[in-house]
Amino acid sequence: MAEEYLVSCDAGGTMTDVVVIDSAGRFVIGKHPTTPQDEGLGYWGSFADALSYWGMDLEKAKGEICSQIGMAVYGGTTMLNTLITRSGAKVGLLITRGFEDILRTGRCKQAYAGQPLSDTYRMVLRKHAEPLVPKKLIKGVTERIDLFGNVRIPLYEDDVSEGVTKLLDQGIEALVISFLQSYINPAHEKRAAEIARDVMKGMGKEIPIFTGSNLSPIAREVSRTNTAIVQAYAVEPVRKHLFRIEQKLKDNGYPANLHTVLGYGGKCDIRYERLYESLASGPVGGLFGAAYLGQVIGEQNIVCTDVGGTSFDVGVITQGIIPLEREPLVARMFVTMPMTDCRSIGAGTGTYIRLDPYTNSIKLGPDSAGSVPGPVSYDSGNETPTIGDCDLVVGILDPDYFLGGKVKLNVDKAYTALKERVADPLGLDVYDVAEGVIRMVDDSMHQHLWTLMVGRDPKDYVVFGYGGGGPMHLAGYVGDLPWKGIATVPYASAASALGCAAMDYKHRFHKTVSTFVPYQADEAAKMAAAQVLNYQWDELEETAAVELVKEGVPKEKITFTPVAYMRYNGQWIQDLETRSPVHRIRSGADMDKLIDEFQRVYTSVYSTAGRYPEAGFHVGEIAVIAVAPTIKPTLPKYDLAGKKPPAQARRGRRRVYSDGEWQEAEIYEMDELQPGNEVSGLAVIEAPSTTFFVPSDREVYIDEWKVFWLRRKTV
Amino acid sequence: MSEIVKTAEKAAKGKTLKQRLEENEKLFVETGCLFGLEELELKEKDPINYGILWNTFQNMLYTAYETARRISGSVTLTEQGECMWGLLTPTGDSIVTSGGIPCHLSPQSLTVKNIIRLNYEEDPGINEGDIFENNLTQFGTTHAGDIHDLLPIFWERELVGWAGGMNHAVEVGSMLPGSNCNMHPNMFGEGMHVCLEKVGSNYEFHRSYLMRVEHCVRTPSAWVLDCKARVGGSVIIRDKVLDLIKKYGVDYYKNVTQELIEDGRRNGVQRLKKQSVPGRLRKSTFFDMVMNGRGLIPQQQNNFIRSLPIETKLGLDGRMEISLDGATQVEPFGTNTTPENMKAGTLIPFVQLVGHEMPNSGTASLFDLEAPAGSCVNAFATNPFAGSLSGWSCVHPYGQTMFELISRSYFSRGFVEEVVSSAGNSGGSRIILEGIGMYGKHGVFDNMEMVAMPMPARAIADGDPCCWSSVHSMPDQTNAESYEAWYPALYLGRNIEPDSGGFGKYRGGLAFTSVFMIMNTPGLWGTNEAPPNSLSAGNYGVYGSIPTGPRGADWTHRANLKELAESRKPLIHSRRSGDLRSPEILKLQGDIHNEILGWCNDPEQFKEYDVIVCQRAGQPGMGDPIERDPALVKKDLDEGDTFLWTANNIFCVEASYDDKAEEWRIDYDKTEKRRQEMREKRKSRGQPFKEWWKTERKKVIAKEMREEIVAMLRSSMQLGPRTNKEIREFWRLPSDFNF
Repeated sequence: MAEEYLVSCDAGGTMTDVVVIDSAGRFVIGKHPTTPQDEGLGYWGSFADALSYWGMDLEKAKGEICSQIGMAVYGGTTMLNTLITRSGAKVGLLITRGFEDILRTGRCKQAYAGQPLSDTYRMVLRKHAEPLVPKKLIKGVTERIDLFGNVRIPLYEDDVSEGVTKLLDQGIEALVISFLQSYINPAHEKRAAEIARDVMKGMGKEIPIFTGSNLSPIAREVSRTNTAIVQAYAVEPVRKHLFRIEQKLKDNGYPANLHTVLGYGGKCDIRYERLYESLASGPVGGLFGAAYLGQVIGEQNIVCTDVGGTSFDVGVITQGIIPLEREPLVARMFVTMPMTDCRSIGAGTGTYIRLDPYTNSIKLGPDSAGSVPGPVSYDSGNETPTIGDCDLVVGILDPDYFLGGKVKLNVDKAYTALKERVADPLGLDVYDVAEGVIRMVDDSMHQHLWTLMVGRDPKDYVVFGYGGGGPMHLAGYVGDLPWKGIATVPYASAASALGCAAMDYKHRFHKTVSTFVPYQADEAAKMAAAQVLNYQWDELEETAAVELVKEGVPKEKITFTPVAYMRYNGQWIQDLETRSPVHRIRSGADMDKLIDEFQRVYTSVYSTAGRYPEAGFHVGEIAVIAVAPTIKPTLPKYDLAGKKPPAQARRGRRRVYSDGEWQEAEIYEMDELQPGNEVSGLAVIEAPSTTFFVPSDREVYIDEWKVFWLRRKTV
Repeated sequence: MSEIVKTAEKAAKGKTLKQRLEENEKLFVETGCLFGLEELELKEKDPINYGILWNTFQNMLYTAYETARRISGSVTLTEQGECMWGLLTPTGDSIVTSGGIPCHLSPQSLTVKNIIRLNYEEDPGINEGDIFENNLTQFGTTHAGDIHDLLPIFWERELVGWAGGMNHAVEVGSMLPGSNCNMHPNMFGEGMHVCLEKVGSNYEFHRSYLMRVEHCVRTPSAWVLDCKARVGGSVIIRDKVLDLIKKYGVDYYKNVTQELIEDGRRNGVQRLKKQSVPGRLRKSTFFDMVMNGRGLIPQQQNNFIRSLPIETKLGLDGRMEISLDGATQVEPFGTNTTPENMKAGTLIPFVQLVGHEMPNSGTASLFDLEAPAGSCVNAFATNPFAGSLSGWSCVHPYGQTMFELISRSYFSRGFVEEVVSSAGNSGGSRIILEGIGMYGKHGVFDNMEMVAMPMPARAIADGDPCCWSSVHSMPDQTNAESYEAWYPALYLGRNIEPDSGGFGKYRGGLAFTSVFMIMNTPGLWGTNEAPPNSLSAGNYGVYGSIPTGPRGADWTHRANLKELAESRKPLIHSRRSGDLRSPEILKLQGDIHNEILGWCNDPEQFKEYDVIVCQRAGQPGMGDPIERDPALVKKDLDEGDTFLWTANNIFCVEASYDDKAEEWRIDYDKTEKRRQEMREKRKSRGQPFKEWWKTERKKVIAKEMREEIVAMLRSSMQLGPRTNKEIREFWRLPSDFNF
């Protein structure tokens, strides 16, 4: 049987990682700097790097290799960059008259959302981002439908034709139509689209039309409009870019279509209509990688922690379910786009260290030196010390083995910057400051973790640390919470690309509804509410089946999960994703099961004190998750070797400043450590792409899956 | 059941909380440092640990805020963030606050101090699991709508601090719906007052309290969910504090929290010293109500003007003295307040401009404030029953004006990036309606969207629209569809209002206007919210700018919207179009009520297809409008942010519209000529000061002015000795002269 590879890519802000998996599930990881001007270059370079570990030369045998790819998956940042650099299509917007300014007002919140807490106190730091559609290309249309779907003001059709004519005259490349309450009754949007098509026909033009009700039938006009605009503005240019990557693969024999990654985790064909859902796929891979690993090793509750150069991202998986944010902030806009709920703070290895001139206190970030210019030790022009410089000064990082020795780090320069900018003004020792600042950043990450663990018991959760800086700070940021386990893996720096490979083929379909179950309702009241849910689930399931079959997924391979978003009646916004324990609600007892599930989820977050069943229960949105399985990597299980690491794993000893003094640390080569080995702190376990720091009160055990478990030493 | 512990027996060094509070106050007076801390030993010894603790506290409060507000049942708390949580010392000093409404750290602190001063240690006792609640202005809150819950934190039976949460409730059971209406003439009828009461034990609310809620407010479930949110957040804080004490030790905790507060004070002092010019700054702000022949009681049926002069003196030590001498008398409305609440108002700009790094009681200690007894800003000194349901009516415009005073000082020192042109014309024309909603249930509806304010002009740029709020650190205008799901309305517009910002070299941020029809209800009644509409501009802008017009609301009964829509005729989507002086509502038929006279100070009845137009106030400008870059005027014209009339007559810019390119063109030569003409015109209007003074003095002596102004001056001079003296001296009034 011919080999069939799965090739998965995650093009991040700094590095592009490619994982190649063979039909036996073995995999190799390639890395290449991201090439923002043409991400395809970085992709191809990383692909070649990965194959080199199997002794294969992509350039020499590309035809042979590409013809054996069963599925190629590409996750990148092109769409996000298109939004940030304002380099997308020229979009025109028809919107309910009176709402032409909603992109500029951004519900107020868009002016500050995403800012660090201390900055939110300062109004002078607020400024709205430039809208994707300028006022000139926005035309009002008189119409109104109320929240029950009743037409209260008829569609002024002349407004539509006049608006479209003017917009076409101005050379728009795509048209968005977004009217209030269209999610409940799309009639006006549909009719406006028909008129627009007629106008275009009359003018001999043809451009794509997007309506809010078609793309995202979800209440909240600001986010729904943003969503449709993102689709019109960024998706088509990005799709073209993805087609170029696909074409290159196909030119070399790749027989299938290119796939990409959706923000809620799931693969899809790049021809997928609502490709905007792939906009924020950045942190998704890591969570899915962790969930997949958890599945293999039998862990259902996982805290996923990713330390990069600029941020610390955390997602909490409970009972194997990856949490979702349904109205996330992306590129400074709220969008109605289900997206993996991964919370970030500005703390990473590139985070700047400064002294506040008024309080003489150390301030960390929130900004960062990123990869360019990078920490002071990169010698690339930055003179403000960073966390990475502290890691270097205290000896955790090896100046000659950073990225496998490809980058030489300047210890003296890092030392001087720390001394002059921080230690001397405080009258403290440089090494004490460096170690202290590491403690500060670790603690700040720890507080972020704690925030997300409110209402959860750490004893039920395993913390996975990944990303380039994850293993280096893992021992620090897990703190003293009583975790079930703390772990990392040798492929930590490419966990995201591996996660992309591990995803199923998946789409989600959401719809705003409104139904209510009173407290202690009788059978009739429960079934009245059930009827609404069952009907809408049926509709969404049908839509999902049609769409996936159209994309080539056999219907019998699709599984559907019905979801209700529930709250206590009267709660203003907060609702919780409740996966229905039954496929359809056929009795009052079934409804009780749904309510019990909601209350279980609610209590886990807000405690029993926050429960208020006497108010009754409200469902404001429903969803159907349609999933079809795909090829996945297989994590190999190894025989256990002895506790003592082999000689080739030892790289000698190095002085590390830890616990206020210089101590000798054992240095290990991560790839040479064997399952069953144990490493006692103080130690540094190094790999070309990551460094795992083991403090003196900790030890590491490597299990049969080659998972590195960090645990406290037993006295 | 937890064991009852009398804190008096367990307080540190055997002293009562009251003794400790008095001792702290004495130490501050004696040393100028909070708690007498002349050195920050823990910070100096280990700045790393100290920094970690501060970050931990901030994150703890952020977590409480983000988690607990989602429990709530009200849009004000969940979406607009009209809430705050805080951690306090045993004696009620605020250590750290969450985002939300940080100026409430002062009322929160005062609430605990009142618990101590009233000797609650003895009766009713302070025990683990107790919940104390207050929404009575006299005991610390700003108005009955701002409800505070406080929970004592115990460590090994010693009271080591307090965790508290507050939020603005949508409805408090007052005679007129809502929680903010100005029309209540006194405290009777302001709704359900909780007078610094113990309302819960063992972290549960008492049955009797819940019964009271059930029967005394219009929306009990919303009230109860808010209670759960306040207490839920406080419990998160308590748990984390106990973890920290476990980790660092109780002594370290007690000492470091005091240092953090003193550090907050020093941080503010440093910033004021570095960025300000010491000395005296003054600003007057006015407010009026047109009430002749209207009102609920006879005393309300007169027009009046409130004067609220502000004088600040910044000392070389970075400490500010604020005097409100000259403030006018107690008003027969719910518009009065206390000096303590004016201090909270002072914190609005102080948190934004001075103490944003460490907002806590240290920030609140940077200034002293005095307000004349019997004035509207010190009402309870002479009238224990004064109305204060809309106490923000005084606090809000005062706090906004303080932005200008601090900014002028920063500007003088050259810190232009930090400067704003004051912060607004008070609130927006919000409405509060009661009746049967679209789901057939009784409810109260409040378009809190109006909290989303534009930014004032800065010394380096125009103000952005709809991006902040003077009191909320994280305001949210949210979606019109969210409001339509809450109250029976159909929105017709929510756009930026052209020319609503003050005119200047840099213009003030533009406000948005909400236009909606009443829909899907058999009928509603209601009033406007506080502060009520005013003919006076609360702030006028600085350095030569021209003030924006007063905010206001228009409304109409029996509008012909339905007929207009059926015949596809233009409807109404904004307050004005085409011209600064042409209200859109006048184009409709019906019983039109336009502008600020008459809007809803009296309750009104509404039915379907009635139209309401609410405008949030625009922000003041900075600098002379004829110095504005014509390119910025063109941008405003292109975006529909200014009218041609304004461009021509206020900015003195010559512009014409290019139909083909669909944009405006500026004629720079004609613009310069026009501006030169304006300069000449201004010069010709000028007169020597002495001439002006002589002419005006005659009018003053003859009292040739509106009777409302005479009454205002009379009240100012009666209550304010300094004002009395200054007015007499300035106008050289005869000794027997009185207004």
